[in-house]
Amino acid sequence: MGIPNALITGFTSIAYNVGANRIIFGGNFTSPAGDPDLPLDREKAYRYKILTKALEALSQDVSGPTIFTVDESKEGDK
Amino acid sequence: MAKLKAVHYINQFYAGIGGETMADIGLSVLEEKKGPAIGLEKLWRDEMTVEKIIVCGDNFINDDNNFQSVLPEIKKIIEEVNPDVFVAGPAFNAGRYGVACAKVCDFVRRELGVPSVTGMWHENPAVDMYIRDNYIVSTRETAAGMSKSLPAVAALALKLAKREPIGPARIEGYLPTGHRYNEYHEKIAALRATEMLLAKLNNKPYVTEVPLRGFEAVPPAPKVDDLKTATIALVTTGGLVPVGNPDKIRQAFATDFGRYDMTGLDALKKGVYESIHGGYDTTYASNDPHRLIPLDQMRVLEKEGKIGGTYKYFFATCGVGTNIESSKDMGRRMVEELMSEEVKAAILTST
Repeated sequence: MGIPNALITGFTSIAYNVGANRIIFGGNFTSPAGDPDLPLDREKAYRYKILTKALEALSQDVSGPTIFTVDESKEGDK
Repeated sequence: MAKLKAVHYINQFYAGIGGETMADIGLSVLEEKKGPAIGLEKLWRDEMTVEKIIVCGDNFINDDNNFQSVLPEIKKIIEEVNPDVFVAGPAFNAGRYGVACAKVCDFVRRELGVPSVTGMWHENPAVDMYIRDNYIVSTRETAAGMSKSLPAVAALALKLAKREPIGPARIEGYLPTGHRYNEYHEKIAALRATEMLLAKLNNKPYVTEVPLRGFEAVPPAPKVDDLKTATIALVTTGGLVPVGNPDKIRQAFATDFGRYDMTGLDALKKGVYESIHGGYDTTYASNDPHRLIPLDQMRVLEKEGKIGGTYKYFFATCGVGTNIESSKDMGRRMVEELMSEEVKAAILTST
């Protein structure tokens, strides 16, 4: 048995179809843990939210491929 | 016209030498016709004969050293006979026999340039190992299906011997190799796609032109019990490496990953790291490497006490055209290190 992995990707449907178990919807496909359209401070806050969601996924059991979406809009405050 | 010539490969059982107790027997050649060769010759009528039958015990040939040691003998036999085709089995669902048939076919085709064909049940473990470059005819599960299975093997062998063009898997009866070839069609693609869609919507049968690959299901790993004490590793398939790519990670079809030390760092700076991935516009990733390896916010989470720590190395490869076997190999090597270092989880970004 391995260790749990949270996959952050802009392509959740691909991740789901190939069977990744903990999938986090990331910013976009060239910047999964960020969003180049945001100003730097807001991008950092967004990255923090993505990681928080990844930690949430890692700290719960899943029965198969499960997609976790960062709450609210893409950006946001900590 | 002279008759075409085949060489046939079988195991100890089909040669009448014995069953499991004789599976360690080495390579030999039968001059008389035995086993499936008799059936094959009937199906070939007067067009092709089995010149020689090569026999080897299943246990013997599945040992790698033994296999290497019999290759020169097989080569000598093939060069003497100069056959038009090489046939092995069929092996049905016998695992060791299946692998033996497929690997001998693979050798004869690849190294000696003789077209080869074997046959077996589609779930035989040899199929996954050798299907990509070898003709493996789909057969029944057990030898009770010999008479039902042999005609397709014989037909494909004869075609190969005559150097006739080989059609698609579903018509010729071999298991799909994954190879795709262009061909002319009287209908344009848009029309064919629309017809398929209409058939699908009406629950009518249709055959896809682009079969999707099946992926093996990986059971989810259990959750992390206590994040506050857990060390977490950062991994990316987005190709982030130190500028200059010191490990020469391949930009596509990667078979290896790099591991880069982040000890004492709070950020991964532009100009120190870059993405060398060959499959997407890496401008944004190179401008801010945290978009692939989010170290900056991991440090924040560490300070807040939400996680125990971040593993000191990040792992990176390029996920483009990467085959599944290479990916599994890299994943196994990564997790081996992580588990031995008591890392509890990974966060992997994928572009």
